[in-house]
Amino acid sequence: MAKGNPILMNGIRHECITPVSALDNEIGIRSLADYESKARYVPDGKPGGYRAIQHVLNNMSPEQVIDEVKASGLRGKGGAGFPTGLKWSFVPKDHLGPKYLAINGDEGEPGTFKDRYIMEDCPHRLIEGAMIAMHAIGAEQTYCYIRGEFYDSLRLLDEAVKECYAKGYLGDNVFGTGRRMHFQVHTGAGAYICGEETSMLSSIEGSRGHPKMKPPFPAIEGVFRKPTIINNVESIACAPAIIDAGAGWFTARGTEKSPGVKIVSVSGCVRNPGWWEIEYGTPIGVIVNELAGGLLPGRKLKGLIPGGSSCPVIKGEAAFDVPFDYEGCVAGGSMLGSAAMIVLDDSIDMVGVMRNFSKFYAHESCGKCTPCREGTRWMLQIHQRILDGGGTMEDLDLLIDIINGIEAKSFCPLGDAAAWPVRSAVERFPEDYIAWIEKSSRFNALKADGNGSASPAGSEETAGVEAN
Amino acid sequence: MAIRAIEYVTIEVDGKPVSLRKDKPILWGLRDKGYDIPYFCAHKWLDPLGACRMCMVKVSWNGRPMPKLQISCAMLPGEGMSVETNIEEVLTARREQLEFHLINHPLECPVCDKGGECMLQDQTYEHGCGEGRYTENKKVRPDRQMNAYIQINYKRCIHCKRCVGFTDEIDNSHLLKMVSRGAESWIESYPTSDDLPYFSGNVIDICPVGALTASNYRFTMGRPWEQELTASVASLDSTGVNIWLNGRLGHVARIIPRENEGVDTGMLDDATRFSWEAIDDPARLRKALIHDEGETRRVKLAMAEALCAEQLGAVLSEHPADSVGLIAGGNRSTEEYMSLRHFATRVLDSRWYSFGEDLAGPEGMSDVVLEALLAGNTSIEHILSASTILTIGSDLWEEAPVLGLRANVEVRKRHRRLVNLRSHGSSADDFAEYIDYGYGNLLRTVRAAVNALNGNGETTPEGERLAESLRSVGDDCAILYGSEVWKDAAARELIVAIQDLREAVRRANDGCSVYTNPVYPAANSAGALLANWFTKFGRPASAKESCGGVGRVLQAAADGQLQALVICDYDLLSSYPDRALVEKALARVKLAIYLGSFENPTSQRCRFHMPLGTWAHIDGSVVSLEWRVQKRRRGQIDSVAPSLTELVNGLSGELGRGFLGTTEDMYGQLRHNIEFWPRDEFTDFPYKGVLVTPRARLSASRSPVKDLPAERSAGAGELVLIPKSFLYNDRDLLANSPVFARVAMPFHAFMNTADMQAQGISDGDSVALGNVQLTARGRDWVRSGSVVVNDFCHSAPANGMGAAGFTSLSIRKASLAGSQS
Ligand SMILES: Cc1cc2nc3c(=O)[nH]c(=O)nc-3n(C[C@H](O)[C@H](O)[C@H](O)COP(=O)(O)O)c2cc1C
Ligand code: SF4
Ligand code: SF4
Ligand code: FES
Repeated sequence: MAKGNPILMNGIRHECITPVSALDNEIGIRSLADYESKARYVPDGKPGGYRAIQHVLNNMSPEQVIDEVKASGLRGKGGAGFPTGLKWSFVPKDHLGPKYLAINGDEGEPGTFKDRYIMEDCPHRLIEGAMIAMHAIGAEQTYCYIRGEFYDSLRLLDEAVKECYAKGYLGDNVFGTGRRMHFQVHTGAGAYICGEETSMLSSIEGSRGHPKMKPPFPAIEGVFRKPTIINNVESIACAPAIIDAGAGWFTARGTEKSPGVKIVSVSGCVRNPGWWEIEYGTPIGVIVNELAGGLLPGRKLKGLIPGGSSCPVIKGEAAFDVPFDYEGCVAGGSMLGSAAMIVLDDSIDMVGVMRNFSKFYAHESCGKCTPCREGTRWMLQIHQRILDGGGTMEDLDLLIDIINGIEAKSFCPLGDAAAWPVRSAVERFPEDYIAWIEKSSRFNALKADGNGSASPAGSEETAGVEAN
Repeated sequence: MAIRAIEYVTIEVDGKPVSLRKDKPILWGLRDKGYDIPYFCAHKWLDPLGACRMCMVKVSWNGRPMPKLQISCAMLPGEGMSVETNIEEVLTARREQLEFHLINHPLECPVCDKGGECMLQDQTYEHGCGEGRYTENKKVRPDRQMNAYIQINYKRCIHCKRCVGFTDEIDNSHLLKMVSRGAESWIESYPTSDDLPYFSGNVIDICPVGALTASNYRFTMGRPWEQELTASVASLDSTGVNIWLNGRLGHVARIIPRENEGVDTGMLDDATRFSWEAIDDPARLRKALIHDEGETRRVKLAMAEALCAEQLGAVLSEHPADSVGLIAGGNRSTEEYMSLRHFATRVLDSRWYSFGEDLAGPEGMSDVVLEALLAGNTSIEHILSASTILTIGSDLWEEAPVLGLRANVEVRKRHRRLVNLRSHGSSADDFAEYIDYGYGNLLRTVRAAVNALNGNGETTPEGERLAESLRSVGDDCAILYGSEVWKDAAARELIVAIQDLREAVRRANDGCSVYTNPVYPAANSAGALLANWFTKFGRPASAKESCGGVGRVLQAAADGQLQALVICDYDLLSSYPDRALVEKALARVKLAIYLGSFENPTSQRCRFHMPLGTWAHIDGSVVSLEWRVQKRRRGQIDSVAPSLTELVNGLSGELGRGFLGTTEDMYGQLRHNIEFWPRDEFTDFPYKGVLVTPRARLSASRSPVKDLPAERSAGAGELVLIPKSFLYNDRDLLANSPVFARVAMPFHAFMNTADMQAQGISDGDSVALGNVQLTARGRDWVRSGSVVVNDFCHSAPANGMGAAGFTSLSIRKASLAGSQS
């Protein structure tokens, strides 16, 4: 685990250590590209400062760049952990006409806050990474899609881009090499689904943010029906370090299958929420207790979500022993996702948490496919009803049935994301649900009829209509 | 891209081998083979969307199952594939998805117009679980009018987005959009008053539930199972679109498409679909009208027939031969034309007859032109699979809407080329290549292109550009030509020149196939040709041959050669290109008789107006632009008006000339005498029609003309008048259908904004074109130097704005006193 200087920003404490810190402790990513001091991010031959891209442009073929990234074992940081180098190699080499790089800075997953700090604190690192990726895949245009609410990210990244154009780092003659490289910042309008890669492409095209059918995969037919590589901001921001420090720096860290480092953002019931760059494989307990300052006094861990709101909840203290890497999290009964750790202590009611999650997913479901559109709303209604004192025991089975109808059957993974946490809550924390249901008037009325577990279905009229 | 052979692959389905088309998702192939896989969002016109998740099946490749269920609407079959459609996993998934579909559904089948033909109803019956577990509040949203014709019931919508797909992928109108997100999302439309709906009605058909319904059908015209369906053919254009005419309690209840793969694939234009209201409209004549010295009397048909025959008899007794003219519009059945032919030759003993609109201009038809019209004709299927489609002077979208729509889809989805030689912009501009020619110079341009392709003779820049776009047409080329050809003063030469062009394109492309098809001005123009030139198509001459055209009949009448004029279903005053000639002819003849279903400006000028059944009231064959002979069948509706055949039989009887024959007799004569006519019996004529190849005995010899006619252009400060054929016009059925009153019919003077500025005219101003006043509308698609008007409008007849043929006029802002649109 690498460590850096704690800093304070937007009222949240961060310790910022990046791959760059391995190169030269003096020039960490933050000090290089800090908004105030970003003028220092100049090509002066030192690590950082557009050294990697100049090296790439002058000395490396696209294949060599892809091989280097492949060798580093870099895995996509957006959620799925797909090997980035492999993804880059999917772009058809003989394609005539434009190809595109699209950077995913939508960062919509509840619990995740890492990309915005890269865009705000070290935008040049991202731009340099994009240039390396463009070189590797043969693109001349990058679209960086930023979540609509990230006003500061937009402003700061835009300024950095303007600066690059002014200095000739971007444009029609990059660093005098004659290469064309353009960088376009594109804002979303606050839809979580636009973080899903094909929806993001629809949105960039100016259409409604609905996911598109795969195949064709974006690497073959993406934005404007041209080959497009989509990567998370953090994945792209790793590229300069890989070129500068070499693939070996990466593979020397982390685990065999998840090499390198990862930014984890920790929120919830901890003393010191924030984000840190850690080596893959660091036990979750170390992250929570050493970096995030541990639980609040007198509290015990009830559950922990390692990867953001779309991952199952791991029950109890066992979560502390789970190594924080892709394989470890799966073995622990959850997923690494976007490394957004949400810590829940014993003061938390799981039904309330799931009501909030369901509300989020019902609100963010794009509405394209039936199971997610209808199922998320139904799950929200059931949770709300349970919390309002109208739950019955059948609701637990019903929830599982709804989840079965959504999971692996919806068009895009948002449906799964909505289903997984609820399934884990119902299966791993049934006592929370039962506690509410036992207090419910409906349950007790049915019980008084000697009908405590009878299904309410068909026995009750639709309660009325809800105005839109 | 000529039509390619279909490739098949054998896969395993539920343990049995099944051979499926390689290019279609397995859903379609399996459904065709009787596997009942439910689906909602997929539609054969649309790209797979994958929204409803009903069509999931278990797929394995070489014995290895894919972990998730797969949607069969997006899965192409392949070697080594096996599919399970009936295992518990699949059945459960269907039940789950169906439950999701139903939770917010109002379950109001008993009052829903779709009930009985609803996919949701059928599939719930087949695959549903029979009871609901949803006890929460349902979503609601009040109904809303989507455009002039369509209403949405939001509660019933299952969000399949087929309707959105249609307006995005097929008709490109983008009328319907989904707004908001998740379960709260809904379908919204933003119609602007000026956007005419052309194909919007198709979304009613493809909506799998009762969410989208026709405003003039819903709640009033009965349930689907009460409809008596009759297979018929649309009547507004020459594509030959197939329809079901629905009758209930003796009235027309609606018109819906009847899929014919070769013609329309189930698409229907709005004008045809919604014109049904006129068929039973009170305005349709049930009795005869007699206009006498400024008075109108309504009399019974039999009495009118007797009176009419008496007056006609008086004319005939004075002038026994060639004294009566007979004109019929292009929308009657071929059998009716045959009976008219008998009436003209046997009863009236007149050669002054002509059926159908003039194709060859005022000079009339000749063997050379007729041959050129028939040469190179091919089927719609071939036209649409051609690598290059060239339209000459024809806006397909307006003149043959379904053909135009299908051509646009081919171009957009399958990357064919569409080249438009045209005088103004059209809805195809977004994806067609186009070459502008100055209106009135079509012959000049076509000949110039022929010269350029042949590398021999004078050419023009437009001709050069057209030639350039035709130098490499790909595998084959289809040429379609339409209204601007028929209206050209040099139509005769033009039709022949297009054959020269066909020849030149063929030569320039190594002898590839080049087809030419006329886009006729009316639904049965081809049938009218047959009856006019019966002795050339059928038996050698035995009776008087037609004089050759409407123009000739009118000229004869205007010259005083004719004593009487019989006009059948043809609003000459509103639509014949030379209004002055019509006026003269009507003024000169002693007796004018109109046979038609509705009153119109022409009928009001005739002494007798006999009621006539519309196309929906009579049996008869029609011939489409691809020479598909199809049968219009009489709907299950009451008619108190006769067919033309019945009428002329009646008149003939009154005149003491005996019975001319029934409709079936007429059909028998066609079948007996015309070699290429389908061999089928009239009573069980094939439902999808029969494609024929016309042959005629013609003495045609011609040599290509290389000379270019002089260029025509507008006078100083004047604009060239382009009378354009719009789908929406004042044809009887459209003028009398109340539903079209809600649509902004294109009765305007469409001008280029630059011209308007130069003249100090602003959008919405009233302007005078000759003696006619119209509202000016600035539009980009109008070329500077021209003004486009609807060529068929009662209140502002284009044929009254100037001379026939080529008109160039100056446009004035109309005085305020008379300003109105
Ligand atoms: C519903 C949904 C939301 C997503 N949101 C984001 C996001 O906000 N940011 C992101 O980088 N990836 C997001 N993803 C993942 C992307 O689809 C995609 O996998 C990722 O951007 C690929 O980049 P990577 O290979 O660098 O990880 C989301 C995926 C889904 C299904
Ligand atoms: S699962 Fe379906 S409804 Fe949900 S976001 Fe994806 S496509 Fe849209
Ligand atoms: S209106 Fe009909 S076609 Fe359109 S989305 Fe709803 S159900 Fe589908
Ligand atoms: S028909 Fe396949 S998903 Fe709707």
